[in-house]
Amino acid sequence: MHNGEISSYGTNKRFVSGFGYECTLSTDTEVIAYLFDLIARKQKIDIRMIHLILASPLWQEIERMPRDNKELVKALRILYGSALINGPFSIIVGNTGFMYALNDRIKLRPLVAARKNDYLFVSSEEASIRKVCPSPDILWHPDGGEPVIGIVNKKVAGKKGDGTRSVKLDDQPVKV
Amino acid sequence: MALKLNQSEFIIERDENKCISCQVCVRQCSNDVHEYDSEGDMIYSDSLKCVGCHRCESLCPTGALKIKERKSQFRTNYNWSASHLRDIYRQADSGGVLLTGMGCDKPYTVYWDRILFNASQVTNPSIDPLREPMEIKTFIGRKPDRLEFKSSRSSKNTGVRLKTKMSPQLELSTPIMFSAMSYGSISLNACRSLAAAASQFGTYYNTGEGGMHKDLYEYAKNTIIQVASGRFGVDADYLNKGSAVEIKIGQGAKPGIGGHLPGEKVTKDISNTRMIPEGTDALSPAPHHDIYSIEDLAQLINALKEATDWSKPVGVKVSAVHNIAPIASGIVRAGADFIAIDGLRGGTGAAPQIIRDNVGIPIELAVASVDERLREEGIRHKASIIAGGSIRSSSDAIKAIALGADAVYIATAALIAMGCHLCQKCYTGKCNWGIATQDPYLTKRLNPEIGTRRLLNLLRSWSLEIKEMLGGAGINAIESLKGNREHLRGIGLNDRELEVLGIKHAGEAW
Repeated sequence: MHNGEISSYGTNKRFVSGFGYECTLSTDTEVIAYLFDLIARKQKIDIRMIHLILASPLWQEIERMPRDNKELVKALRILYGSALINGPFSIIVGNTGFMYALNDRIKLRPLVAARKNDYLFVSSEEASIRKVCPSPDILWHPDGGEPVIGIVNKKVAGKKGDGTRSVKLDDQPVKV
Repeated sequence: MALKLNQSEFIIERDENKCISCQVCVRQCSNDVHEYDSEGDMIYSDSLKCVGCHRCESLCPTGALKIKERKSQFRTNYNWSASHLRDIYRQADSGGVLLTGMGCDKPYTVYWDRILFNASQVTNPSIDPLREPMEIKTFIGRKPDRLEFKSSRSSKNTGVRLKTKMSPQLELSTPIMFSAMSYGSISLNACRSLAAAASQFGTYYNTGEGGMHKDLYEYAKNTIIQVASGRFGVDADYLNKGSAVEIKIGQGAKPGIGGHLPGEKVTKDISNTRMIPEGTDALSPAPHHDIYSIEDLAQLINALKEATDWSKPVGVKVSAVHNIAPIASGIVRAGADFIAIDGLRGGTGAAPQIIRDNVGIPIELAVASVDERLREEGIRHKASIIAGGSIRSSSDAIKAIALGADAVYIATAALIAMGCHLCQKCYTGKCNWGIATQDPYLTKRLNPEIGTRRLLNLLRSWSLEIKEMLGGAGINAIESLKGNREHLRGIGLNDRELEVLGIKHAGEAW
C-alpha cells in the first residue's frame, strides 16, 4: 500500500535493477516492494533497521549520534543511499509474517497507528481506524521516518482458534 | 617587411579621447601588444600579437580599450573556414604540431544544453531549501556488497553494531571537486587558492601530476594526490600527503597523449617539487610504462594501496573514449575505488590542437554509458564515478549526477572564477591573469586570498543552486538524484542519442 509519489523513483529503480529487479509496471509503488524484498529478504537486513535506509535520518542528526550508532547509520546511508525513498509517502508492507508501516522522513504524508489487544491498525487517517475499531487501546501518530512494526508471534499464531493471529509488538524499531 | 599571410584574430580599438597614456596596458600585456612611443606620447598596438585575454581592457582605468573578435578576416568559405587557413599558415611557417590550451571549442553538440531538468507540481510537493534540510553531502569510494552487523550490549539503544569494515571514503560537503591541475601548469598562487578553497568548503582539490609543493602540505586533508605516467614527485611521503590517490591514465583534452612541461618552466621550486633537475623538460610518456593491461593497472592500484596502508581510496582517471564503458568495467575490476572520466571538452595546459578538437567523446554520453554498463554488471557500487570535462554550471553538475555520476570535477570553471578569460594560450606560459604561468612578474597578479574567496563563492553559489533545483524536484538528498534519469528529458535529440543517454524526450511522461 502506498500513499504518495516517489521523487527518487528513477534512482531507486536503477538501484534495484543492478540486482536483477526489472520495473515493468508503470507505477512508482512497484519499486518499494522490490526495495523491501532486496533489503529485508535477500540482504537480510533486520526489519527493525530498514527505516534507517528507506527514510534515513538527516546527516545533521547522524552527526549527533553516539559513536557506535553513528558508525552504523552512516554506513547504512553510504551503502544504501540509492535506496532512500525521497518524496511524499506513507507505505504499508506486509506478508503473512509481518506488517510494516513507514512514512517519509519529513512527513509529507500522514500516518496513524493504533492497537487494540492483538490487533495493529495503520492508516493514513484516524477516521478509518475508528470506523473499524472505535476505541483502540492506544492510538499514535508516528514521526516521519519512524516505523510501525508488527510481527506475527509464531508461537501463538493460529492457536487461538478464531483464525486471528497474535501480533507481537515488542519488536521495536532500532532507535538511534 | 616580411610577408605575413596570417591575419590578426582581434581588433584593438583604442578611444584616443579616453586614453591618458598611463601605460597600464603596456605593462599588463605579456605578449607585447601595446607599445608606448614617448616622443609622440602615443600608444601603438599590434593586434597580430593579441590573444584576446582582455586583461588590458579589464584594467584600463578610463575604459579606452575594446578588444573585439575579427569575424571576416578571410573570404567566407563554408568548407575552408578561417581557422583552417590560419592553422595552415602557422604550420607552413613553423613546421610544427600546433599547440593549444583549455578545452575543445568546436561546435559539437553540447548535450547539457539539450537536456532539461524536472520539477514537482501538485502530486509531490517541492521543498523549500531555505526552510527544510537539503542534503548534498557526498561520499566517494568503494561500497561493500552488503553490511554485516553484530549485536552489542554496550552500544546505546540500538543493540546492534557494524561488523563490516567500510572501505576508506572521501566525504564531500558538496558534489563538486577541483580536478587535477599541476603546479607547473598553473602557478603556486593558483594551486594555493584551489587548496585553501577546497579545505574551507569541505571538498577536495587534485595536485595534478606535478608533485606537491610543501606550502600545500597544510591542506593535505583535502588533497587528492595524482600519480601520472611521468611519476613526478612521487614517493611514499607524497602518496601519504593526501586523502586519496588518483592514477592518471588520460585526460579529456588529449586522450592517448603524454605531457610536456618545457624546461624553461622548470624553475628551482618546480624542480624540487617534481624531483627533476632544474631547466630540464618534464616529459610524461603517453602510456604508463608499467601498465599495458587491466592486470598491470590492478598491480599499480594495489601497490599504491599498500604504500598508503589501505587507508585511502585509490582511483583512476581516464579520458572519455569510444570504448569507455568496458574500460570503466575493467578499471572497477582492477580494484579502483573511483573512476574519474574526463570528457571531450576537458581543459589542458597544453595539448596538440588536432587531438584536443578531434579525439574522445562528450562526457554526457560517457557517464550515461558507464553508469549503465556498471549497473548491468552489478558492480556500480564498487566504485564512484566522477564526471569532468567541461562542467560549466550547477545545472551541468546536477544533470551529470542524474545521469549517474556521484560527483563532478571542475577545473576550467575554477580558473574562470580566478580570472581566466579562456584565451587558450596556457601553453605559452604568458598568462596575463597570473594563473597558467611561472613568471613572477605575472604570478603576483593572482592574490591567493582573493583567489580563495572567489572559489569559495563559486562553490557556495553552485551548491545553493543545486539545492534549489533538488528542492524544486521534491528531493531533499543528493543521493536520491544519482542516476535518476526520470528527472531528465532530452530536447531536440534523436532516438539514438536519447537511447545512449537513457532519457525520454521532453513531452514524454512515465
